[in-house]
Amino acid sequence: MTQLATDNYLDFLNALQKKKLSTKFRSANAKFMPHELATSLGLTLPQAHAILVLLTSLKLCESRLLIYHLCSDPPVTSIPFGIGFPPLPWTCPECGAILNSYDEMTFDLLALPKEPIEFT
Amino acid sequence: MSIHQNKAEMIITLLKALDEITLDDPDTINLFAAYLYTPDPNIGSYLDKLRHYSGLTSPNKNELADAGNLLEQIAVLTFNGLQGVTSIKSFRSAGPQYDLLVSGDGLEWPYFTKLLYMQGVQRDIVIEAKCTKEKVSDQIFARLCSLMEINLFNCAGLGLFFTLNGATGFPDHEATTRQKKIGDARLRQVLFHARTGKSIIVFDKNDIFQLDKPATLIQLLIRKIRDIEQLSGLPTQSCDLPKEIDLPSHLGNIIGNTLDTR
Repeated sequence: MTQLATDNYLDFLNALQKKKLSTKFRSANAKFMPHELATSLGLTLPQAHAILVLLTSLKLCESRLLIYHLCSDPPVTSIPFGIGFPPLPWTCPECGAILNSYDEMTFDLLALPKEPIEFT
Repeated sequence: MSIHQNKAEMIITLLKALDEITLDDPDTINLFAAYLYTPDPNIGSYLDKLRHYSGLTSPNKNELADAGNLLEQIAVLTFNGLQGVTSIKSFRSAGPQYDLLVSGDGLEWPYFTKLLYMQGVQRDIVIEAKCTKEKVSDQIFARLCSLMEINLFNCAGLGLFFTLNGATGFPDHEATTRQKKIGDARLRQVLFHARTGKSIIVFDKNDIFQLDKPATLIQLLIRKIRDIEQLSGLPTQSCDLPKEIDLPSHLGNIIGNTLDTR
């Protein structure tokens, strides 16, 4: 288990939030999305993103940028987080539409921890 | 229910997230930078044309003029890929000709200027494209210093040259030793920064050819601005290297990183 001293990185977390985070990140095969983390811990959406992006940059999580297109409710595909938005023109793998702008696309983040993490 | 965001909303959320992290780590900044700079889809073909011109051994006057226009077009495309730009202009003013003036008034821009060590309200960028066989001289460099201090005193915080061959006095990519003295345009850059706090940096063709990849504009700007004070004596490292490593062997070996031996 990796211990993460959050005071060095994420000083907005209180003791209860650290405890809840540690419990969540202890379970195997866990997946996290920012809005779920924000709701369950009482954080803002940017704070939830900050946690997941930091864990990604510290190589404790593998994160994906989920790509949604108007043609479908679930994400149509995902790319690794940290390489920017998908390059244009972009072909929707679901409906085959060729998009020359990001207007019909929306995005979200999905983080997959590589190992259990304890937030101290 | 998932709360997915459009591109603009996602960028704002990520920038606010960056503000929540109490860490100035290159890996973290690189993750965010990829969303601040998304290359214009057309820039690749323009860079290919520039490769052609830069490969000519003795370009004629027309070819140089074409390459000059091309360099200005690449500058426009570059800043078209930067999030938060709300003003992009090129015109002859009552005073001088401006190759390009770029600024942003949106929520993204303060995060961007903070990453670039820019100060206060001086948030505009002035860009000069110089397509010459020679390096940019101290005289030309001094002209941009003057524009920033006299004409754009309150607004401009960053100057940027788009060049083929860099500027005089800057560390050479071909050099086998670390540059330990400064002079010419490099000295002007350092003196101007010391006196005004503003940075003027120089992109050469090695830098420009990297601009078709996400994050590169931000990474290059940060590295070059930082080096005005650090004076490492080395050319800017490629963005293919996510971290800048410049350590002697007894330090580099222990973290298993490649070394710059100059």
